[in-house]
Amino acid sequence: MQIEIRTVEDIVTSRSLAKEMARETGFGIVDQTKIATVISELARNIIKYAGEGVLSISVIGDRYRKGMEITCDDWGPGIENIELALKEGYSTGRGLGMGLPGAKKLMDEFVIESGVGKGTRVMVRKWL
Amino acid sequence: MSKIPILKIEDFLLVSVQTELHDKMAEELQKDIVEKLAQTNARGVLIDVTSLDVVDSFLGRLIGDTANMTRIMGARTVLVGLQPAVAITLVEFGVELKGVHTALNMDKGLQWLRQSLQDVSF
Amino acid sequence: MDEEQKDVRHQLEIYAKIFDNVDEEIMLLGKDLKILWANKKVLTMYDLGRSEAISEFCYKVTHRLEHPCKPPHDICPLEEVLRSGKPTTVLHTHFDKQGNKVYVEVSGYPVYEDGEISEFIHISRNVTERVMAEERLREHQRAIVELSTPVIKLWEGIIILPLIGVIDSNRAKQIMENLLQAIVDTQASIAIIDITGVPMVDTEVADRLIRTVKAAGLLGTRCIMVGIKPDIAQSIVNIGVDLAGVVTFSSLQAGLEVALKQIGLRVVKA
Repeated sequence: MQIEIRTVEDIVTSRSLAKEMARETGFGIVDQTKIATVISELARNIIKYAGEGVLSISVIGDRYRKGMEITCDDWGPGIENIELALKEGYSTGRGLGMGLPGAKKLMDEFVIESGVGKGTRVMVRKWL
Repeated sequence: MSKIPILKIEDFLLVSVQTELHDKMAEELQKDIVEKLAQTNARGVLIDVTSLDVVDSFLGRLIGDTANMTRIMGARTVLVGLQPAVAITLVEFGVELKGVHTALNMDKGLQWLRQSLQDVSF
Repeated sequence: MDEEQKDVRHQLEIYAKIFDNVDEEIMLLGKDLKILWANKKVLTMYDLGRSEAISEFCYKVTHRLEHPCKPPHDICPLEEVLRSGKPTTVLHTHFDKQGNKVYVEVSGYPVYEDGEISEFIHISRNVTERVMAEERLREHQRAIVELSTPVIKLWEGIIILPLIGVIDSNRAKQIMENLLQAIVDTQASIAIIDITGVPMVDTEVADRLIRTVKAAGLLGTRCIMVGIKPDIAQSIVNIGVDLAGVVTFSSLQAGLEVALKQIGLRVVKA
């Protein structure tokens, strides 16, 4: 599922959709909440720093396990110093204080790619 | 976007968040609370978040700021009915909601507010 | 018929025997996911003649869909096979005629021609029993964890969680959820966590316990930890875990007295 993030309302719609999808996939209420919260943070980041972007949410799996993958793309200014952005409490730039480091703590896998002027891609995964 | 109603109970304001809180709605709510506080001279604010199933860092910070604002105006804020899943997520996330008192239900919230009225210390 | 033809005939008979007598559904699919060939099991499963099945889309026959399998329902393994070039196996959830859940393991294999994938082999096997057994096992484990971490209502507004035995990461997670749910169910304003029966506390468990206390705090409940033995106290300090904000006592009695006082009660000799 792909969701375009353009307005502040999209943050709320996308996290409701994600929570429902998490529930259908089989996640318990706590994990559903974590997934919805991460979506909220990532979507807000897009709006705040890039103006618009795309969220892709998909169910992934193999023979042994099932999970959800969320990829967040934007073509904004990009993050200059990814390490710094991931440090808690860093709030100018893309850290938002809690957004990215928090998302990392709530998910099982977290990958971020970004370059100045090249936009940003954040991919997170949570397994059942 | 309909406004969230703010009611008066005893000496306090009661805010019941029933729907999903969009960013702008949340900011407006904060403004409304502070204004109503000044208008009515209420001594405390109860925010019922039983229906909130997602609280992210933005909302967390907004709630914390609201509690600070009300305290500066001489009133305490109590958060009532936080969902367990949300509490767990907030803690694992690292959002502490410092300065915000929480209560399990409306009764306990009111009790605490009444108590706080008597506990003014310098 | 000459020897060579007899040989080929014999080979084909063997292939037919194998393909038509296995319990797995085997299909050869084109790149467009249309069925090029299907074995007997497929035909009997979906009540089709071979000519009816051929050139139908696999998803139409097996899932009655008008498009390839898509999440949040079942994932199409062949899309992954196309992407990675390697065999892929996924777990599908289907429903039989009575509406019961049937778990099917679906494997996709690439067939290469001139270095490119030209067709797919699609094999499904019914793994309902295995998956049910796994689910039952997990249920049992969950039940064991719940039984071993009962939350007891000590008094109106006070609950106690006696922890016994070694706590691993999984159990710690369960404990956190159980305690918080119990707090909501009983509306307890104080939760006593008794770790007398816990032989050892490592950093991870200590972290979890602290997070549990913090989460309970967010709900409006105060936590008191009791039963901290001297060696656990030592290891906690040595590891450097910060028990800030957690009220602790070494004995349950001391903790209980404080808890009762909090709610305005006192134990008096009769």
